[in-house]
Amino acid sequence: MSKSPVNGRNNSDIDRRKRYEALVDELYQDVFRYGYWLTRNKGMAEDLVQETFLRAWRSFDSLQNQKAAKAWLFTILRRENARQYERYRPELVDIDDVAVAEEGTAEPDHKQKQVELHQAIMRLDKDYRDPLLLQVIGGFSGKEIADILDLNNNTVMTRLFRARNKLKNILAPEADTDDAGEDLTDKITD
Amino acid sequence: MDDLEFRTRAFSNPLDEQEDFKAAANASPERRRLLGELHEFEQDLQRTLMAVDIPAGLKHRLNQHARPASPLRKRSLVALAASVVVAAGLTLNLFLQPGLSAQDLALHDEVVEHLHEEASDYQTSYDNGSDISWSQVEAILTASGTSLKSSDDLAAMHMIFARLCGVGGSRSAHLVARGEHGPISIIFIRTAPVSRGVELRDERFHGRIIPVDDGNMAVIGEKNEVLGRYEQALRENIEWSI
Repeated sequence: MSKSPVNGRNNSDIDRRKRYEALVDELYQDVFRYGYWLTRNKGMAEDLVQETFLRAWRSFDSLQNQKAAKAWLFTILRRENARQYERYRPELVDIDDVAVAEEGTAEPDHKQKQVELHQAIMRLDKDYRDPLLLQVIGGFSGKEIADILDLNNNTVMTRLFRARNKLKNILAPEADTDDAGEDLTDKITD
Repeated sequence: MDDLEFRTRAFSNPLDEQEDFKAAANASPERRRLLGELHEFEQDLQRTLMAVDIPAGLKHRLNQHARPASPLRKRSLVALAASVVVAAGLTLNLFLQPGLSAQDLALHDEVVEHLHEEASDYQTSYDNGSDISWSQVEAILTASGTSLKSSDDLAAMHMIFARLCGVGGSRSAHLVARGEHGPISIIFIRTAPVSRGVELRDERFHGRIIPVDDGNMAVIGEKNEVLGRYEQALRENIEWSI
């Protein structure tokens, strides 16, 4: 096992705090975005992110590899979401709850396109949405997504295929594409 | 790599950088066209998923986890400890009043303690002047098994905070509205209704816990806040949905 870049008895509290703050600086926006798309509620997302980073700070010394920090935080957030909200909340698909952030330069057509895509993502089944969020927001590889979701790699790649396929079908139903990929997952590598 | 495999891999990860995939993409104009479309779609997808407003001050609040307790925080901890002592005294005081059960008193103490714990969080929202949307409030209410009918009185309220909490041992909804003199906490607690209205006894807060249908509602503000109209509007419009 590689030597921990974080763990170290000689690290002062200040050094530990600086490392934590660097972690926050680098990742808090993506963690919040992920929390938002998981809960589709900004208040809940903020609560989750607060709890996630609080737990991260308390367990900071257990972070063995700085490169794994992002997956670590996303995993904490997923668990916290399951613990706090998921068990109690039905899978709601509120397609009217579109909160696209304002972009000063966004053209009306572009804005409309973004709203439609936002709604389509909201309509995706959780099984398909989850790996897609991890891939696009988190930038994780199929293997990393498989580890986070506790699935095998082929299942993840199949779900990613279907997620994009379903999104395209929702956005352009007249161009309905075949849901291929079912029997080809053994050929997909990451 | 046949067309079907190429298509599957392209949809799974349009940004795949592996050599065999890139070579397969260049094998035909049709594949290049498909990959071009998927790249364009991927840009839209990234733009949409990333277009989430990050709450102002979130980074600062996250960094606070690693800060030693500030004098203010220490004071609030002392205040909390003091309030627990006061609450313990109040329990005895309240217990001597007829009509309140031990469960009523325990709920009173729990609400007081919870308010002192949470006050610094929602006070920040109050001070910043940042409101939250009613859809955020509704999501918390739904998760707690309650809902509010829409009314003009409620629509006029500015909400600044909504969170699930464990008051009463259940998933309670803790909302905070912007009052004239400070934040006003509204807590919907789905536990057995208190025997009668329980007036809050605390050095900082005032308000009461009242039974409403199958649960309890607490409306609590700073000492000089007038709470009656809030209590009435909420009581008339609350529905226990679970």
